[in-house]
Amino acid sequence: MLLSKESLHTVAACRFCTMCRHLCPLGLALGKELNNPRAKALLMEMVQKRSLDEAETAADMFECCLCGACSANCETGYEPPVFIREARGQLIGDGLAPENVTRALDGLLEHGTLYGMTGEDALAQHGRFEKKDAPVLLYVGGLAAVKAWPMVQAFMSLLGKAGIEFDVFAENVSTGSAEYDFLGDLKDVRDIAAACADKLNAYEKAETVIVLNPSDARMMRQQFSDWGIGLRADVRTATAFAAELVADGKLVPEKQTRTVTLHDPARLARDLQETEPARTVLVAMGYTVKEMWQSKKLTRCTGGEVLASYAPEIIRKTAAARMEDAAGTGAQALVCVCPACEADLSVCTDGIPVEDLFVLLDRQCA
Amino acid sequence: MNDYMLRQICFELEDAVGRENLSLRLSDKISHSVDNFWLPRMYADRGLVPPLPDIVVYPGSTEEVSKVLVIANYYKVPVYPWGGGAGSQGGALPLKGGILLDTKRMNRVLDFDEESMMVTAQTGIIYSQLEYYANERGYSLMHYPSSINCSTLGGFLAHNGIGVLSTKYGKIDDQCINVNLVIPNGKVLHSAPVPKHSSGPDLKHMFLGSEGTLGVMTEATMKLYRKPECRRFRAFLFPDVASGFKAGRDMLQVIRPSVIRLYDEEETKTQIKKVLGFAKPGAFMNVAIEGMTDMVDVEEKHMLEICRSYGAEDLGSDYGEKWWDSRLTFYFPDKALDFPLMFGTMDTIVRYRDIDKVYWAMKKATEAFEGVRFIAHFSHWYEWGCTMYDRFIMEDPPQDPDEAFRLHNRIWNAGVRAAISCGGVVNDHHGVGTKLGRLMKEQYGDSMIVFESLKKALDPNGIMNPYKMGV
Ligand SMILES: Cc1cc2nc3c(=O)[nH]c(=O)nc-3n(C[C@H](O)[C@H](O)[C@H](O)COP(=O)(O)OP(=O)(O)OC[C@H]3O[C@@H](n4cnc5c(N)ncnc54)[C@H](O)[C@@H]3O)c2cc1C
Ligand code: SF4
Ligand code: SF4
Repeated sequence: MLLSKESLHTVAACRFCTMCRHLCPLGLALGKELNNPRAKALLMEMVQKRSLDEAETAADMFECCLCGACSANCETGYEPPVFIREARGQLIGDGLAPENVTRALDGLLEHGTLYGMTGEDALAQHGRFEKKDAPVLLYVGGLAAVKAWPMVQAFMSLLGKAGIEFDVFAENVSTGSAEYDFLGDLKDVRDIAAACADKLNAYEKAETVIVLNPSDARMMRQQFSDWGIGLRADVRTATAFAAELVADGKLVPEKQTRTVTLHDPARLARDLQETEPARTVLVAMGYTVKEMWQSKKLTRCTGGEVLASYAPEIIRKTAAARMEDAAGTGAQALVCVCPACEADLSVCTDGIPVEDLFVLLDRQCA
Repeated sequence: MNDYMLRQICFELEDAVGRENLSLRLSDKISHSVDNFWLPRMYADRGLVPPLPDIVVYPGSTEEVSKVLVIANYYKVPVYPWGGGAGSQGGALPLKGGILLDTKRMNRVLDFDEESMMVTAQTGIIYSQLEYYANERGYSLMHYPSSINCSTLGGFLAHNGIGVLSTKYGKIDDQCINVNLVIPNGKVLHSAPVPKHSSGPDLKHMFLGSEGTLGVMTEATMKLYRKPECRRFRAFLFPDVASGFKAGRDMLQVIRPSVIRLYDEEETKTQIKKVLGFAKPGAFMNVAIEGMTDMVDVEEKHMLEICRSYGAEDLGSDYGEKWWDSRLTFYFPDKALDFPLMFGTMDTIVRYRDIDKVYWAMKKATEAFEGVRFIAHFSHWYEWGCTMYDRFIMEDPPQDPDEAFRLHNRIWNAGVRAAISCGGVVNDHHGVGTKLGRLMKEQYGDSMIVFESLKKALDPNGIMNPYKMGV
């Protein structure tokens, strides 16, 4: 396996280090030694030194949700997802990835979503969205269209209530976010991202793209620019946009007395460093927010849509562990802002109710 | 283990813990073959594979652990308890093959008793997760080792570990109220529900520090503390390390700091540079006092008087606060000791009368090896003595694994023998493991019979963690 210089450097640092094991959501939920960067780096080290065959590491490299909790805690700034992503691409390229992974990836490459249909078809199930050449473009994404339609509906309703004219991006293309998690930085993935950017740029009147899924928002805001892929419009997350509508008085929620806790999606809180917008909205709704210990930058990921596509048995555990965190706060409900987290948590049968921020806000806005 | 027996034993273990909680994956075995001990790390670094277990199991409860041990005991297969694998003594290494028992699925808090200020948890919980649980409810366990994020409750109990606030809040054996121990016949032993009794010797002290050689601890009850109203730091520069010892000893007669760290002249050069920006000869000390503000005011007054009486220069509070905020930073890669160096922490503990002797004897013994540097600081203070946290460092060790292995063990023999000969002990808080097992007999002599008899009585087939702790 040929790893890049950056990956090798990270492997050399992490191979004997256990300083971030307390935050890995998989390690915590599954209790397995393999689920932390040290173990994965040690395996990569041995592969490099030819004391281990790379095939032996295939399953392990995919037992990670690339949530970055490890990097967030690393005081010397190492990022294990860098070598884990790279190893995945190589394992897939060498035909060594586990069958469940290959099956999920094949579906993704065929449809552009992990749900056996294109994003366009997923949206079409809910109606037709005529192009209006509006200044705001809503990027729903396949996941939200398939798994979290009430969230999408509520968000569209909120835009309507705030008097925002918008188009819905209903094209047959993904941002490449899920593909990137499977394959890493490959030309094919960059091509998918570039195609997405072209289609977004084709909405010439759009000044703002609002993105519901934080993974897609991260992709557009960070990865596109790292790869030199230009977007004309300004990319905003749905939470930041909603918070702004509330701050500007365009949405005036009726106040209710409730105590809730908020689950920060890993990519929103860590990669995009957006932790406050959702909290300001909740406060504007009259809610008291009781924080879980692992919140904001230290949030505990529920697993995410890519891991869910090939390892639902892991998601059951990571999601249940998060539910326990939430219940431990004594809050009445766990509020989510991301379709992937909501889909993960929907498998939990025990615990406090999981509620969507936009659905709640829509209900409280006349 | 032959193929047939492997199948047979796995079949029974799966029945005990569930199929998904048993693994024969090579990667799983490898991830349990290297802990924080330099030798297995050296193996991995040099492209060798350290000894592997045959089977890895992840029990989720006391009952499952009991079943696993009964099976292992019947087949006389070794069992190695493994927590966070952050131990530095090779304590959890599966040296003889067999069953690696990873405790991390046992990660639940079982009882939170605010009235008695106690928390009971399964021992596989990562310590910082237990601390956060307490913090969320307004309390702390006050056990702050540098590996709080790496290690488990059971691991700390098994090595009788220590945290940076120990001078006020004690070692983990002071903080533990009771603990259980599952032994190879499957029975679950319990220490008394509360300590400080006269109902025979406290069994807890036979389980703590036993390093998995007697059985597996699965549940423990620990003390809770309210968070202090204030924590104040002060740094001093003493004319020499001997006056620092005297000041530390005297402080403990009148006040109870949570932290006292005194650095030898060698380490002071680097620490002082951090505080003052220039080198200054002497011995640097960092002290923390905490509790209710008015009490801290009084303690601080006594601390200042005592330090002044030994000629210490007052360096203010900035250093201590910075040290507290970044106390874990030095354990991350690029800051911590790492390859290509050869290194080891030879912490020992000694009475005040002997400390100077032990320091010089260990320094001389280790620095007799060409290229070895010895540094030390003194942390964890008691009325009668303190811990010497000393390290040897070799910049350019042999690349050849055989040579490196021998040299490493020779340096350790020399350093620990020097400590023992001057009134020190094999180890202060990292434990014995496989690293120092051979030296236990040199410390205890005929008294080893106590450990050996206990081992024989509780583990007659010798399945628990073989080749550790010298038993
Ligand atoms: C960066 C770093 C800093 C450190 N700082 C400190 C420090 O400040 N203070 C300190 O005391 N130590 C420190 N250590 C050492 C280490 O954290 C301790 O030795 C700790 O006790 C090991 O716990 P673990 O869970 O990692 O156990 P492991 O390494 O997995 O095992 C250690 C021993 O405990 C046994 N064991 C584990 N769980 C059980 C159980 N449930 N029942 C019976 N036996 C069991 C194992 O068999 C083995 O013998 C540090 C280590 C690192 C890597
Ligand atoms: S990411 Fe940082 S803290 Fe985590 S294992 Fe790597 S070096 Fe250690
Ligand atoms: S990225 Fe997340 S899941 Fe992966 S090793 Fe780091 S903390 Fe664990």
